[in-house]
Amino acid sequence: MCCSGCEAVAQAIINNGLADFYHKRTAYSPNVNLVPDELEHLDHYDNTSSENTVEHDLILEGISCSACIWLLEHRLRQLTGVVSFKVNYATRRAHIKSHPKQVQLQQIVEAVQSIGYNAYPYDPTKQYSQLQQERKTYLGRLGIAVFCGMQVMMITLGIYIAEIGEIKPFLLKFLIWASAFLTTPVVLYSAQPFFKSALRDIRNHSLGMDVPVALGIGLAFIASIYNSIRGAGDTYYESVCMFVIFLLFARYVEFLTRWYALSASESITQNTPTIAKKLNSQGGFTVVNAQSLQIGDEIQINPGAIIPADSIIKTGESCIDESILTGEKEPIKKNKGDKLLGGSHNLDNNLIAIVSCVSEDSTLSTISRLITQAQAEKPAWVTLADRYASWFVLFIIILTSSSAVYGWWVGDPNWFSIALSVLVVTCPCALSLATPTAYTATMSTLFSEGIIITNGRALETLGSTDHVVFDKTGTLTEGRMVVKTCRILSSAHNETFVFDIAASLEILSDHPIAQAFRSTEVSTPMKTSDVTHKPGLGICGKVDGVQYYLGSNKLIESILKQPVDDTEVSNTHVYLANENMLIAVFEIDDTIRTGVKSTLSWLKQHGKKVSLLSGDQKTAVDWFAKKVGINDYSAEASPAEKLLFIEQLQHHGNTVAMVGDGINDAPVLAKADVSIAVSTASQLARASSDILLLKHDMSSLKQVFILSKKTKHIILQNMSWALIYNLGALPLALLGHVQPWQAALGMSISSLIVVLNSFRIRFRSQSTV
Amino acid sequence: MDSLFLLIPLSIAVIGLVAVLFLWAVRSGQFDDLEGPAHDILANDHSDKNTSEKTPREHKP
Repeated sequence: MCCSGCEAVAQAIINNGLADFYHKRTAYSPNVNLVPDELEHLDHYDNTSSENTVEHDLILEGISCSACIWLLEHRLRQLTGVVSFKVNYATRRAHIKSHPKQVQLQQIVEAVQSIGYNAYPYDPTKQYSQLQQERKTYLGRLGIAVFCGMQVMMITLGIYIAEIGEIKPFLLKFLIWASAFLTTPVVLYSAQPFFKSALRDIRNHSLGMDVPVALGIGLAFIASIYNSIRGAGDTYYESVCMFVIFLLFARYVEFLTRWYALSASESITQNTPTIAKKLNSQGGFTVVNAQSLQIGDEIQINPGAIIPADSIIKTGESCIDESILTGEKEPIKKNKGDKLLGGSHNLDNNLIAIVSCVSEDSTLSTISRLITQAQAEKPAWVTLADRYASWFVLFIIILTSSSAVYGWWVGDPNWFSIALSVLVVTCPCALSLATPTAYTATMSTLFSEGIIITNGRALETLGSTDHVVFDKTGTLTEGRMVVKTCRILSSAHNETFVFDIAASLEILSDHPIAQAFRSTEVSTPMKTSDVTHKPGLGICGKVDGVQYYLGSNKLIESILKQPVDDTEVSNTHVYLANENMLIAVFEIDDTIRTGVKSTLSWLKQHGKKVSLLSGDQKTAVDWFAKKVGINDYSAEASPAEKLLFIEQLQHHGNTVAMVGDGINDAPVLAKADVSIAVSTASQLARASSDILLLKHDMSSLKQVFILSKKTKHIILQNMSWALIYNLGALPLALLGHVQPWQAALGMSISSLIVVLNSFRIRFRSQSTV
Repeated sequence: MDSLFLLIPLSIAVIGLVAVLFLWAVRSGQFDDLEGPAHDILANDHSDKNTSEKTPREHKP
């Protein structure tokens, strides 16, 4: 057992007769939050008046192996009123059917949480079912293309290897028509997405990669049919089929990777405060949608709940955690008349508040709006790449048609065949696969390492990133200070007494180290007086009439006039002394996220500038920056100032990557060229980032950088190969030395080389990362 | 060689059948979860809809 939570879970598992779980599990689940935060808001999902069974979908978190699913399914089926509960292993989603009269969704979610998993209800009519549908269509198209394509290939192979005249003309005709018949569904059904997207491109007056693809497939098919009817000339059925199979497969793999990445981040974006408890005229309250609140409405906010809208306290007092909005980690005590920010967390007491600001103007939506704004201004990589592609496509089409016109003009009997060869040979298929396949390989590699890329282009940009900006609290640190050890150096004092003195002094300090002492309970309250802060050194003052000094070795050395041993530099030491002698040494663990130091030094070694942007107090940031070795930092920065900082860097031609966690970082994340959110990041920050680091270890960041560099190399190799192939084969095709089937074969092989080269990323990374 | 006149249409018919079956399988969700069923078989007690509606065994000592 790692904690009391696990013990409770284990007890619940055994009590419910599910001890089998421990024999079945093959992996251990990550810790999940057991506090049923959102539970009370689930009532609105239930429609208790219904006689029939209702269906719900849940997003499940914390599933790591099949034993988890076994456990969940069996626990849930024990509930009265649950008709069926089915977990999809691949997508981590559950579909549940229940009688609303007997069991409510709230109880179901509670049951899930009681065994240590998290569940969020969600509306599958949205994105998910669309994606599922899209996947089915892809699979269907691919299947049909493969079934038919293989048959066509088999028939054509016979024609290839037969000597001229060996096959009787009538049989040959029959074979060709069989091929034509089998190719038709491939072109009409499987290749549909290419035609549709080409049509869309043409309508939008842009030439995408799909235009020559659609042209190639369409023209080759029509020409083959024409030649089949004519009974002379070449047919290209097998080329068409292979072309479609290869392209569809590449697209399908890309789609799958994107989907997995999306479904992992989707669960995060689900729960924003959408429910409010509004006081009605009878004195009770009704649960309403937060968006329907009006200025002047009275709302009740329970402890632990998210504040649904910007409001002013009418009665009650409570501590509010605004870290999600402002980055301030300390809870703030608020009384009657104080302002509450929508989206922040109410910690201790019940509050009644009056809504002061709704929707458009509220703090949360202001921040969301900042994000949308910054996203709109994102460097337009996509359009740039597309513009190059469309020039290339235009070039191909002009070349193809001019070679056709020329051939026809001079009376070459093979003019169509030559033009088709030119079109197929120059088809930027390998070129268009060069980047996406490399991305796909990288994304899936990173995904298995707990790193999610939500925007493929981010990888490319990351390669040229020269400035990395970090947020402090929650990103580089875990945001809490702990006294790790305490060594007593004087026989006249015991540990409790020493802690009491330290805690009494530090209670008056804002220094981050002070937090470590504040968390310890003071057993006997002591009277402090004459407390003075020595900036950068420590604090001193009288505790119960005795003068004490608490601070760095420098402070103590200056008081005691003797050197203090400070050989261990791995952790921060705080010394406690009185006028005459050293009393104790505290070792403070500043809980820097694991892997931060190695990652920072790695970044610097590789010529990247590193900055720290923090909303925290200056002293704290000073101290911390020195500690991790960042020279460029700025403290007490508001979200707007952070945004400005990034803008200035970009203005000076830097490509900026931002690593952050809070909602206050969200606009900055969206503005940066590459945005990276860490594992503990707020939902909004995760939603607006390109890369999510799900592991707690910061060295994930290093991996992303290493892999993005590799990816860049691979893309470069792919591009050069594709260009060499295309440009090399072009003159041959123009001169009529390439048959269309040879062109298609060449195209397929060159695409295959690109795909295999991309997959090297996966293999290489497994040996090195 | 004449057998081809029979065999090829036959193979096309088979392909047609396979294609229809495949599309049916895809659409009815046979490929939605490729991992779960492999693990399902390891679970020894096959509790289905009938057993699920029994009373819950809450907190046995």
